[in-house]
Amino acid sequence: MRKKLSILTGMLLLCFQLAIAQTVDVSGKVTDENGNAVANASVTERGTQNGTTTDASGIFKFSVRRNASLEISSIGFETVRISAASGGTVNVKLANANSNLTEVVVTASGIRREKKALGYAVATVDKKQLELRPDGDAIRLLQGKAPGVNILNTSGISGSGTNIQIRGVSSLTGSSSPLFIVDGVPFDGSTNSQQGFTQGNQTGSRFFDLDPNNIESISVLKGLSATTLYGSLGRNGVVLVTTKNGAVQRSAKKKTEITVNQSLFVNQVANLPEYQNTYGGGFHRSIGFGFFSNWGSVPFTSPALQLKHPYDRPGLNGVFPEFKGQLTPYQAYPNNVKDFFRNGLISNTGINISGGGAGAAFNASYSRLNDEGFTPGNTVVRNNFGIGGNVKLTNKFTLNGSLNYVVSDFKTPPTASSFGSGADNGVSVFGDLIYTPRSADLAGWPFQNPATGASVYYRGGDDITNPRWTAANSRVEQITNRAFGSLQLRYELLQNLSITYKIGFDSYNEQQNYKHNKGAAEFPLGFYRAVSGNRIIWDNTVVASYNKTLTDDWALNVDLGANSYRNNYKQFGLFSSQQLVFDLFDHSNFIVQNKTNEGGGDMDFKEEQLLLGGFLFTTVSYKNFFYFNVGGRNDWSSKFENENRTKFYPNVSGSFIPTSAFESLKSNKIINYLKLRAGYSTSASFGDAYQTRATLGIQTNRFVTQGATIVNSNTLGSRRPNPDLKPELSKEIEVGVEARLINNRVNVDLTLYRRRNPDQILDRSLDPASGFTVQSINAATVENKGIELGLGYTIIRNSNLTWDINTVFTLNRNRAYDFPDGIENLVLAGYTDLGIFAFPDKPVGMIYGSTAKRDPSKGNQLVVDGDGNYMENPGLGIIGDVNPDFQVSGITNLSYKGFNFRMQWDYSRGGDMYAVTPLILLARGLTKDTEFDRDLPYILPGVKQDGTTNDIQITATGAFFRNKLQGPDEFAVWDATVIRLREVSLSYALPESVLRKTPLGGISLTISGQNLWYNAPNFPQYSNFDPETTTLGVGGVSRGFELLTGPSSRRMGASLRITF
Amino acid sequence: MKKFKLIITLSALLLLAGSCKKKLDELISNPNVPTLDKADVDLYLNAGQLSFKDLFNNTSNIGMQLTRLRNFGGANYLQGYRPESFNGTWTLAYRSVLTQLNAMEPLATAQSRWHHVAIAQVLKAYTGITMVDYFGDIPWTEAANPENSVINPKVDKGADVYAACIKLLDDAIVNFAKSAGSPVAVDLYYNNGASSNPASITKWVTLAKTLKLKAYMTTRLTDATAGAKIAALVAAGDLIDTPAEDFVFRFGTQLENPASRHPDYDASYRAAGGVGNYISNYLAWEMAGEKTVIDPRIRYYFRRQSNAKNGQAGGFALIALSCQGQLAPGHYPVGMAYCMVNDGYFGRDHADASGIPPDGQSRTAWGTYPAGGDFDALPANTGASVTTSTVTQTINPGGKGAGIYPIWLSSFTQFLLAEAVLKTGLTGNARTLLENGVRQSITKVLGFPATLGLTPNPAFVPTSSQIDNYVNEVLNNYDLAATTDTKLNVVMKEYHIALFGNGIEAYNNYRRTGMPYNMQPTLSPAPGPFIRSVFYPADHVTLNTNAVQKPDNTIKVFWDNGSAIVF
Repeated sequence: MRKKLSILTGMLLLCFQLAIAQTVDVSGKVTDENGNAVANASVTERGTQNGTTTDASGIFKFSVRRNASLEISSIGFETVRISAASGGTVNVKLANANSNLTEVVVTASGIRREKKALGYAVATVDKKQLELRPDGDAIRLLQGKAPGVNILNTSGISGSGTNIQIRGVSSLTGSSSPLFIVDGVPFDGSTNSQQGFTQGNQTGSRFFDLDPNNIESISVLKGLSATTLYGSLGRNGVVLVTTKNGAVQRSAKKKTEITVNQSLFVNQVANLPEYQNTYGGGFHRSIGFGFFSNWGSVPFTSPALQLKHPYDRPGLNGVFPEFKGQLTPYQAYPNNVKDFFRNGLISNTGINISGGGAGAAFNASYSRLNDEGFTPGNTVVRNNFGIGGNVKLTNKFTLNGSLNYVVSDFKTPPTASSFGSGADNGVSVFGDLIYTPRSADLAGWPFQNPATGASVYYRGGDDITNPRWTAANSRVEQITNRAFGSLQLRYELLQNLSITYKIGFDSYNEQQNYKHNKGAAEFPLGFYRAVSGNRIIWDNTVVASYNKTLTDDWALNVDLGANSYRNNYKQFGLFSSQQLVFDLFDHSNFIVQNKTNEGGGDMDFKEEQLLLGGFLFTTVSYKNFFYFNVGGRNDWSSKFENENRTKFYPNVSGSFIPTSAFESLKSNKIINYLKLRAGYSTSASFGDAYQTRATLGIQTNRFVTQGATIVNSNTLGSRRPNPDLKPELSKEIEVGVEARLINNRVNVDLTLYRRRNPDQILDRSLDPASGFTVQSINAATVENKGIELGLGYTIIRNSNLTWDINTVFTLNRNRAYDFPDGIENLVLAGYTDLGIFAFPDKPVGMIYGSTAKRDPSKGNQLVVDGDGNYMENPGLGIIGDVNPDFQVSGITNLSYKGFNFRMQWDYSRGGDMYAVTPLILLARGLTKDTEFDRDLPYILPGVKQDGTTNDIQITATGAFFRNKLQGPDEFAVWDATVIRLREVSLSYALPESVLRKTPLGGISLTISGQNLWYNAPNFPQYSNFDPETTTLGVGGVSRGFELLTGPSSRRMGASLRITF
Repeated sequence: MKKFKLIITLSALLLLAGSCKKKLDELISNPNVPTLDKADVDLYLNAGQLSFKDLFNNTSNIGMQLTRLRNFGGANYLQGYRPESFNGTWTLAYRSVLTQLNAMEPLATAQSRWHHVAIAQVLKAYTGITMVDYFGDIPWTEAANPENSVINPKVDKGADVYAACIKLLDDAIVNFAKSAGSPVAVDLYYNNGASSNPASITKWVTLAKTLKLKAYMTTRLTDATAGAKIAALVAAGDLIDTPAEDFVFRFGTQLENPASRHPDYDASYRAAGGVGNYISNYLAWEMAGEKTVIDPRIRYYFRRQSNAKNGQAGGFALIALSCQGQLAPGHYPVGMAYCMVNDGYFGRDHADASGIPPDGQSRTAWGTYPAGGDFDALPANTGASVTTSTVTQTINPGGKGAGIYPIWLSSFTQFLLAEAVLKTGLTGNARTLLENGVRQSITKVLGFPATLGLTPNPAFVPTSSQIDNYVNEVLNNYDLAATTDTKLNVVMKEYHIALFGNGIEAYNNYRRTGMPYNMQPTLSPAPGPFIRSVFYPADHVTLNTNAVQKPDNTIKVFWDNGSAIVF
């Protein structure tokens, strides 16, 4: 038998070579188990790149070589292989699959692989989970949809940055952000913040330029086995985005299809605290309008106490005569904070046109997003244009390409970080908002001096800015013009050998403005900062692919290639201050022009890096159940000195499918499909540029003497050079199981991994006494190990009704170790005296700050000083661990005829957070947590220094304000466990039968909501604090640190989609 | 043909590899900054000079707060200054001053620019001495070495650093005597930004000698030979004893780009919501309340916004000053300043950590001296009505911020010599030296507006008889004092007042003598022990493996034998 087979194979091979030019037409219809047409199913000729997709009616037609066999696949169905030996009509019925296990995955450089051949985990999120959603940020939509992927909003501001991390923090002081690949080429996902987090102005992340409605699918490649193909850039994971323009496939007769969608959503503030309305502004025993805190000691009375109007003062009597000599009630204004916010409207309009003919196909799209934030002054407008095509030039050349153009315009009032008293280091619309005294009529009192335009507010000296003034007069803008695209030319050199050349580019100009009118408490003279940044990335890849079926059982696939990646960023800026005419932002309207920004930072800089790579990857497969991959890549980087600039990193992985290998398992009803996989892989990292050589700082115009001498200076750079710096080499081992069980009802995808990143390139802070403050070194190891589990269960599946539940479970444990002598800890983010740190042999991300003094002999009770206030220890200590225990999401889908109901719940357990918002609400006496009799003296629980029980009376103000706002940092740390109803949607699609006589191909209506409910039970009850936010911005370790970043957003609305 | 193709391909590959390597090499260097070989001696010295004044201000402010020359807002001594509070000081001293000057020195030496070297030595010596005064033992021999940087420099004994700094001053005196190849391009201390000349270099020499005097006096408690050293210096005669030799940093008037004004001017006249900081009630009381005669300098030091008395109708609102009319805490001595000082000197008591009410339009601002602010021209309060004059933020009142940092004034030398006469056996008349000190200080302060082109309202300029009255009261107090210590207390009281703007000397004086004796207590009766030396900065302790934090802030520096009672 075996002999016969091999002879037959030999003959077949011979035939192949003889029949090389002989083609036949093949057509057919692809249906599901119920006989409904399956649109967009992929139909390919096995062993070639020849293929097509089905149209809306499930019909396909194309030419194949005689004796070809077809492979038909579609997301959600089992892949079918069928012979089309002599062409003709081939009708195919696809069986439902609960997962995408048999799908084809696009890996590096457009190389397609069957998923079952992969020795690593890939999480795929298809367009159904991304389109028609209220959020315009495609990456935020991935939240909870892919195991191992951790997404964190920087705030609820529409258009603000998003932090994405895959498999934990891999780098202590570098970036842990993944690589974005859009339609096969690198896509910059940077967040080009102009300021550190203390100035904290929202900066959008550049992956915001992707329109979720134009995405065909997103694959998240998590392990190094998957990402080595992309080189060192992909070492933190790869987010592989295929747009509809990039997913165009040719088919013989492609029906022109036009899809129009329109969504409307309301954008609301999701989490205001529950305020008390018994006490108003005051401090200790005093009450009044001028107080910053809400420690009024006597409750509001009825009728209300009449006090001098806060705007009745000499400086304002002229412009506000109506308040002169007036009294006004000292009463609660229950909605004073709530009314500051608005219901924003989000409108998203999209048109997608696809079509083509025998040799070519195209897709074009346009969409417009108009997203009004819940904060006045916050809007995002984004216009996306795109076109993609695929054309077969001659028999041997295939060309495809795509071109996208995005104009996005993001505006928001600034939101600099705050410790609960104005903005820390800049301007913040939230800085003084959330703790507005209950007695301040924020909405009712004017916010602007009609004569000067300056802010007016309840404090006599106007030393805090009215938040309404900030919303109207202070603006951060980010206007981006971006073009990106690629061209790919493939040449079939030999039957089994093709050469592909791909050039990709990504180019944008990002104009970042910061406009601040004169008249605020911060920067009272006004300023205008304008920064223009240009980035261009050129990515060239040439790959020779050799694809050979060696025997009927064995096949070989070799990809040999080279890649060059060039990333060039330049920016220029001007900071003007001292506005002359109010509300005009033109540099000529400012008295002084500065080359440095408000924080003293240089705005004019350039950076260029070049990365060259050569790679070889091989896959050997045996039958359809054993796959073995081995390969490696070598990179050369411009960031290191000659002798250290190169790194080779190999990988090996394999998969085995027992259900295909063993006859006994082939038609097993319990185990329908089982795949085991394992891989060991490595990757390099090259860190930041310009770390190896000493530099000289220059400071021009640093001082002007009384005698008008301009003083310039030069300084030895603060970075200690390290010419011996070397690339990092990360190592990862990954094993996994994929299975479908019990009549395909249960679907399991389990991955275990362990990654070690030794010899981290990290910024080590130095004692300034060394002469320098920082140095890049190779030191310390970070280890991440974890479990990723996708578990799906189909509860009901029949012709009318399906109900399934999918859960995504992520657990990651990380640890840093092998710190060299001289490094006791590392500041990862925040301040050196309060921030996120790494300590040896501890998880990465310890909150380190001041601690309260405790008495170990008295059961560790807190110790008070002679005044009855809590004491602090002189040094700092670990006050929390930001890493969550685990995260789990559940998505349920219920479909009945044309109706589909979907719900996503997310739960994150554990992990600590330093949060100012809940602290300040307590410290300033705003929420119901502080609704107690404030006239009574207060004794803080604890012991005195002599060990006796504390009996020193202090006021309520002292107990909270003094001991929370001015107390040790550990009082602001809470457990960040949170459960959230992330998404709910209900959609209805008109049945085909109704539409048959109309020109319409489909109509669907979806009602959906996002972030509808959450509960973070371990924060002060009435603060309603949402821990899913970060002040630290995007890039490194960012969770667990909140400095009045502002509330989160809740969105609800409806979408209509019509297909012609 | 095949071979030919192969050769072509191979050579193309080699060419490509070569050009790739070249491109990779090109991109290693940071294109945004020059390489080290472009460093310039004058530009290094400028960096050192400018950062030196920032270090002075940083340390001086800490000292002024601790000695009630300006308000200290911490609740007590342990919480008010934590290790993190000194990160800035440390970076300024080591990174911004010492490292830059040390980077300059080999270049200057190679170019025989001895005056650059000498100025750097003087600035380094002052820096080292000051850092010891605040921190005690500090990294010195291993510190701030740019060429052979030690990552974890070990501390040296304070006494050794002092000795090294005195050696630096001696070396500087030698180097000043050499002929410099070219003058120092910018002399910010003795030539207001112009290039150095023989006259300015002479003043630097005088300064170097005076700094030795200062160092000897500081160590007099623990160094038995200090008296002899002081006597030798006095005998040599080249000390800062005339205002022309004063070692000050002069500010400019430019608001920004670059900001070149005295920072306390900006805090008073450029902050939102009015005056941005509090004056010390104690200093205001020393000048307006303690003596029978009002200090002639007070309208130059402080610029009030109101002349209201405590609790006067039409005066300060209770929301701004809630302590009005209340009794002073029980631990306050009778008569001690509390809450505010009449008439209208609105500051804060020592270690008042309460929240900030809207009082920016009530607080007393810094005046003409030393911040370059406004002259106080409020009329006397006869009790009938209150006159207010709010500081305006939109114009640039007074001296537009062209103030000074009084790093060493001739009056300081006089007071210091008075102490030497009383305590180290220096031959001389302490009473005369005291009078010289007071008169030189008053002359300096009263003459200051003229240097800014300001003419104070003549109605409020002290007459010579008012000045004499003041001096006479001081001298009378001196004469009444029975012991050497109480006589010294009168000297140190006047020194304290004259030191407004310089907390380094005030802090040293207080720890050395415990004078003036009647410092205002902290508001809290239990502030913890006074800071005898400050904590090491958090940056030093966490980042340097050889660093050891102090158990608390009562550790004394080497010259402090603990004899002074401080609180």
